[in-house]
Parts: sequence; structure tokens; C-alpha cells
Amino acid sequence: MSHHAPQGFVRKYIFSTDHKVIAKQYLFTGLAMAAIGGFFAYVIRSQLAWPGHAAVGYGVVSANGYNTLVTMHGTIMVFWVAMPVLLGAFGNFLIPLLIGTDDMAFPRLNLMSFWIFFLSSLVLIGSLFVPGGGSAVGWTVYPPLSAQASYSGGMWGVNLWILAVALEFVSFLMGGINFITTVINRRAPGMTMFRLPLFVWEEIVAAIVFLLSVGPLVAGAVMLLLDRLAGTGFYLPSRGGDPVLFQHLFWFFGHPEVYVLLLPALGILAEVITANSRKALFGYKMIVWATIAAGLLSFVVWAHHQFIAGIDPRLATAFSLTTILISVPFAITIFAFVATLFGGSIRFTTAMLFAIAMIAEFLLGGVTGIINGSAAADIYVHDTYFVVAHFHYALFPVVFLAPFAGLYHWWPKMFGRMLDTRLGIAHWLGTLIFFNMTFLPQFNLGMMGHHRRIADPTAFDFLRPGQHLQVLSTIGAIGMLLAQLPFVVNVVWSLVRGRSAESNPWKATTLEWTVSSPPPAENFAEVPQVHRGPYDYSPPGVGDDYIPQNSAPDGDRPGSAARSDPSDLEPVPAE
Amino acid sequence: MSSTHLPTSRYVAIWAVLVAALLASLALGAAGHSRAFVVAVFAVAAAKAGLVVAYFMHLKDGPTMFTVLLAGAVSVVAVLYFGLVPDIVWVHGRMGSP
Amino acid sequence: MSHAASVQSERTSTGLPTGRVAIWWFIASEIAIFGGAVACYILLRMRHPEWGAAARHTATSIGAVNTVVLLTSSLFAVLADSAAARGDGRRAGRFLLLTSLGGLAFLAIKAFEYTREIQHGFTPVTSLFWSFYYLMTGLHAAHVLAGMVAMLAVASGARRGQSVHRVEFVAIYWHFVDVVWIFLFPLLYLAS
Repeated sequence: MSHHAPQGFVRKYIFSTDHKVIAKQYLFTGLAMAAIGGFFAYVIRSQLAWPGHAAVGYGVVSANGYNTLVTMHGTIMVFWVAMPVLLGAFGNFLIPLLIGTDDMAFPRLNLMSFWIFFLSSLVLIGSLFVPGGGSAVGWTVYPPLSAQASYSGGMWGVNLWILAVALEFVSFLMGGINFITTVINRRAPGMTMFRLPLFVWEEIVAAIVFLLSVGPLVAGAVMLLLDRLAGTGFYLPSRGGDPVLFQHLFWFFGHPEVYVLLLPALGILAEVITANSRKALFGYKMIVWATIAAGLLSFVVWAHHQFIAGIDPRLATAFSLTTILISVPFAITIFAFVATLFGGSIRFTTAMLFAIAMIAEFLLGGVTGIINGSAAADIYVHDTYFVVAHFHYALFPVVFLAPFAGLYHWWPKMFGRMLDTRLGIAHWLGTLIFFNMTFLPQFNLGMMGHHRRIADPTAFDFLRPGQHLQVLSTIGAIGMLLAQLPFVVNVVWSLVRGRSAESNPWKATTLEWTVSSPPPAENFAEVPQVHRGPYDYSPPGVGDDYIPQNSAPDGDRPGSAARSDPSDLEPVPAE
Repeated sequence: MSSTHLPTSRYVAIWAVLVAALLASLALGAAGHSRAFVVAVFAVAAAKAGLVVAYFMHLKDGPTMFTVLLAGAVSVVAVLYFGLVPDIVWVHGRMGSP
Repeated sequence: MSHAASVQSERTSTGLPTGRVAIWWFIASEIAIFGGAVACYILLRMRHPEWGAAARHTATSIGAVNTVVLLTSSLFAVLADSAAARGDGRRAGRFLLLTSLGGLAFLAIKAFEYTREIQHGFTPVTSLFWSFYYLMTGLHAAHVLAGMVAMLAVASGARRGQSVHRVEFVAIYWHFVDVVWIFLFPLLYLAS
């Protein structure tokens, strides 16, 4: 039913305006950057376990080289893996399908968003090869170290880093406006806001949080660039400026940003858990309100990253309170997920295994956040490996475990092929075992006083007793990387020789499963008419254990309680 | 749903009020430099902005969503400002500050 | 034959034009950017009362003229918007052209002002006050330029009756640029 002329290869796969193609472009770019970021992590860990020894495949790590690796690892993972995968890939692919429309509101803007993002990744990688090397001032790029090239030894590395991040911000600002507008205005008839699958709510709140929090940092980055290039003194005390100002601007965005990542991950979990428990989401509306509350609260917790920076102690009190508070809405969401599992007919697909693992691991990240978020306790652990372990226990589930759950769940829909379950289980097991081996010891290291961003732990006598933990952690890291091999094999095999996927292999209720795998270019042959909520699983008195969202209203179904309200539907044109 | 549009004469009238407000703020700015004058000048600016937002940008009769959005964005900036006052403004005694 | 075609570019779940929704969200993000810069300025200005002396050297009369220029261009923008709402693309295009001319006048006056200031020794590195002055007015000027480009693009289409609905969106953006200046003027010129 498409009325487009056949498209050439370039229009169809490279400069496509189809959200599904763009989503895959984001996905593969993100995965490629993950490989680079992961390689850097391996080199970092190799250096920490065996300082001074050449890392296999890299060479000897210099002190400045170490700083560059740490900077790039963090930068890449947050901005060039998490964002493109969670928002660019899953958001783009799923939002139009889940709300029942044919594409984003602004397909050409979408195209531009991806290519600006791609350009930003080229600029970032390119920054590694300029004279002076890549940025070595930390992903937090604090002045005064970052404000003058003479302090950090690198000029163009940092400039290009700032440019790359700016381009990435522009890309996701454009994408965010696209997502928000699409969900506001392109929902299928009958798809009220409270019939949206939770994934869509999470993506929209995330997009809104990003859109409102990134602005001050854009201004701050321009000011930093001017300090570097034009000789201004926005962050230099000698000129009347203030380096702590930049810290505030950075974290005013930086903290909401972690929720920008967390929310879509929770959204993925909601879809995977409901489908694989054959059960409606527990407390859907409560989770929506909790998500909105978390989005609002995320704007008033940022200074917990600066407790020991010399901020006003009264600020520290206020931000400790808000930080403890923000754990509440997320606890609500996670407990609601657990309640969804409770009493469900659990199906341990690979996606479900990753989803459950995400909850377990993220919990560890969450509770250790309580310690970091209380200013008095934080004084001891701030800037140590305790924090590193905390945020990896929070971020790794968000950036990898949840997306893996999403990939195993939606791969059939995206590519029309099934992934192998045994390879999936091997991937899951290896990832989990080695992830914990890598990061659990780092809590101990932090409590021992091991500071972050130190290239050679053996230079400090008081850290020597912990060196065996460093080695254990590194073995874990190497194992983690190797554990990804089954996934790579699985993916390649699936694309080349995988079993064809039917339209609804998981017997799920949401709209994407009502079309073929992969969906046709226009998604839906006819505009879907939505008659019910997103999680009509195990309804009583019905043969199947699920009802898709676009099935006829319950009033037409004998013997079942009416649960939908068709009165808000638009009239369908008469035959 | 299209925005409410007033007749041209109304928009010209609003423009005249805006220019008059500008002149008023110039007068206030020249008259004194105490806190009261500064507050007055910004009050006038806020009023001008309010007129532009309400009538030129059609927010007065527009959907609530946009007004809420505008208020939300401004609130975010306000949170940033007030959150930073203790650290950036009240710094007597910190290195490099008066 | 009777079911709605799947291509949904005309669909609006709220009844609002999609472009209007988009432009307001865009403006919200811009408020965060400009607001961030302005907040930083106000914070440091309050820390440095001595900046009052520097602020007296900004050319209030030029700034006032520019304010009138922008207010007038905003008037033309809303008239373009009204014309477009009535379906009169040609008139809307002409008003947008006038609006752009206002923008051009603003930029020309600004360039003249910058030149004058630099000649008097007030460059972006003279003091932190001047750094902020150039940063904020420069950022604003960049938005004026972008707005002009957008308006000219929309105007050329509207005059031929194409995409007349876009006049409204670009006009709303222009008003935002005007509102930013409404705050920048007292901040940088009057509050000394």
C-alpha cells in the first residue's frame, strides 16, 4: 500500500527518513562505540592490575594516556552508547509503532538528528589523533584544568571533545522535540495517554528532562570554549570567575542525564516483564506519577556530586535530603515490577533473564547511592572507587542489561529473525558473573581509600594490600568482554541464517506485535483503532492469554468484564 | 484549533504600550540606581515580556500545555539560579573573592 | 477504501498543529540555554558590585533603539501570523520580509555598536563583565540571524501559497528572540 517509488540503496539504507532504519543506524553506531569504550575499559583495568606492564593490544599506558583513557571511556559510554541505544535506537524504533502511527512527526529532522550524531562520533574519535592527544581532563571537564591548554597539555583534543559533545547535544535536542511532538500529536485513535505502553511514558519524560536540563550546560560549554580559545575568564578566579560555577552547570545537567538514561531502561523492563509474566503491569498509573515525580526531583539533586568541592554546607544538607527523596519514586517503580512478577506465569526468555538481572544489579547500585547521597557519609567515600563501583552498578544495568533485554525481546520485530536461546543464556551468565567479579571488589577498594583516576595504585603504600582486588577486578573485566562473544555470534548468525520470526513470537499485547516482523515501511496498513490498555494479559474467559490493544472493545466479547471505554474513539468513516 | 487573532489595531496598540514601557524603563534607569529602581526596571521588563507572550505569541487564549511548559522552563532556570546563590554569590572569604 | 490511509502526517491527537507543539518545546529548550547564561551573569554580577561601573559604558541609547527595532519587527511578525491565519500567504510573506528587515537593522546596529565598543577598548577579554556582554548579546544575535534565515525561507514559500501554516511557527520563534532581548536590555544597559 506504499505509494513511494522504489528507492535506491542510498535513500533506503543510508539517508532514510524511516524511523526504523534510523533506529538501526543509532543501534549499530552505539554498539560500535561500546566496543571502543569497552576496549578502553580493558586497557584501564590492565594498567590498574599490572601497572607499567604493556596492555596486550595497546602497549604501555602513560600517565597522561591513562587520563585520556578514563576520560574517553566515560564520555563514550554515557554520550555515545547509552544515549544512542536507549533513546536513539529503542526510542526511534518503538515510539511510532507503540502509539500506532507510521513514522515520527518530523522524519527529515530525524534523519538530520542521526547524521549530526554520527558526525559527533567522528569528531570524538578524531579528537584522539590530534597533536597533544585526546582529552585527558575527565568526562566532567572541570576548569581550571580544562580552561587552559597549558594546564592539561592538550589543546585540540579538548576543543574537539567539547565540539563533539555539543553536536551530540544538538542531535538529541532535535530528537527529543521529535519524540515529544510525536507522542503528543500522532497517537492512534483511542490511544489515550493512559493507554500508552509504559515504555512510551518513560521515553517522553526522559526527553523532557533532557531538553530542559541541557540548556545551562550548553551555555556553560560555550563559556568554557571562550575561556580556552578567547582568553576570557568565566571560570578563572584571577579574572573574577569561578570554577565551581562550571561544576554546578555540568551537574545541573549531569544528574538529570542519568535519569534520562534510567527511564527508558525501566520502560524496556516494563514491556519485557509484562509480556513474560503474562500479567498486567502492577500499578501502571502509580508508576507514571512516580516517573513524573522522579523527573521533577531530578532537577534538585545535582549538587550531591559536589559535596566535597567546597560548596556551602547548607546546600549539602538540602541536596542530601532531595537525594534521599528521589530514591522513593524509583523504589516504587522497581517494587511495582517485582509485584508484576509475583504470581505471574513466568517465561524465562533471554530477555526476561536480562530484565530480572537488571533489577537485582540496579538495586545494589541504588542502595549504595544512599551512602553517596548523604553528605556526611559521602565525605569519606567521595572520589574513591566506592563511587566508581556504585555508578557502575547503576549504569551497567541501565546501559547494557536493560538494552540487552530489549534487544533479545525486539530483535525478531526489528530484523525478522529469532536469536538463539542457548547463546543468549551463555551471554547472560557470562556477563553477570564477570560483571560482579569486576565491580564488587571495587567497593572494598573504595573503603580502603583508593582514589579515582590514579594511574598506578602501587605508587601508594597504603593501597598495596588491595592489589589482589585489582587483579580480581581486571580478570572480571576481561571476562565481561569475552562474555559478549556469544552475543556477537548470535547476532551475526541470526542475521545470516536465523529462523524467521512471526509477527508476535512473544504473544504480547502492544501494537508493534500486530504487524509483521519486520514491519512494513508504513508500519500499519490501516490506522489502528485502540480499544484497551497496553497490558491485557490473562483476561478471564478468553481463550488466548492476552488481548492486543487494537482488539474490539470488551462489550463485544461474551463473558468478560468490560474494561475499556470506547467512547473516546474517533468515529471510523462509514463503509 | 487555531490561535486567537486580534484585529491589527489591537496589535498596534500593544506595540505602542511596549514602546511606552521601554521609555518608562529608560526614565527609571536614569532616575536612580538603588535596589528599588532596579526592581522597578525588571518589573517593567517582565510586564513587556508578558504582553508579548500573551498576545503576540497567543498564549493568553492558547492551550494550557504551552503556558505550563513556559512556566516549567522558567522554573528550571529559577531552580538553577537560587541553587547557586549560596555558592556563587555569598562567597566572602573564599579565595579570590572580595 | 473506507479505512483511513496509513500515512498520518495530517494527524493531530490534540487538535493543535504539530508544528506549533514542536516550536513551543523548542522554545522551552532555548529558555534553558539563555536562562542558563543569564543566570550565570546575574550570579556573578551580584558577586561583583564593581561591574556597575563597567556597565555604565554600554551604549544605552543604541540599546534602546535596538529594542524599539525588535519590538517593531515583532509587530510585523504577529501581523504576518494574522495574515497567514486568514489564508493570505502573500501578505504574510510580505510582513515576514519586513520582520526580517527589522532583524537586519538590529544586526547592523549591533555591529556598529560592537565596533564602537572595541575601538574604545572594551573587548571580550577586557573584563568578565564585558565577556558576559559579548557572550549574551552574541548568542542573541546568532538567534536573530537564524530567525531571519528561517523567516525568509518561510516567506518565500508563503508568498506562493506553500506551507503558509509555517508562518505562525516562525513568528512565535521570533517573538521569543524579542522577549530575550527585552530582558537583556535592562540587564546589560540599565541595571548599573
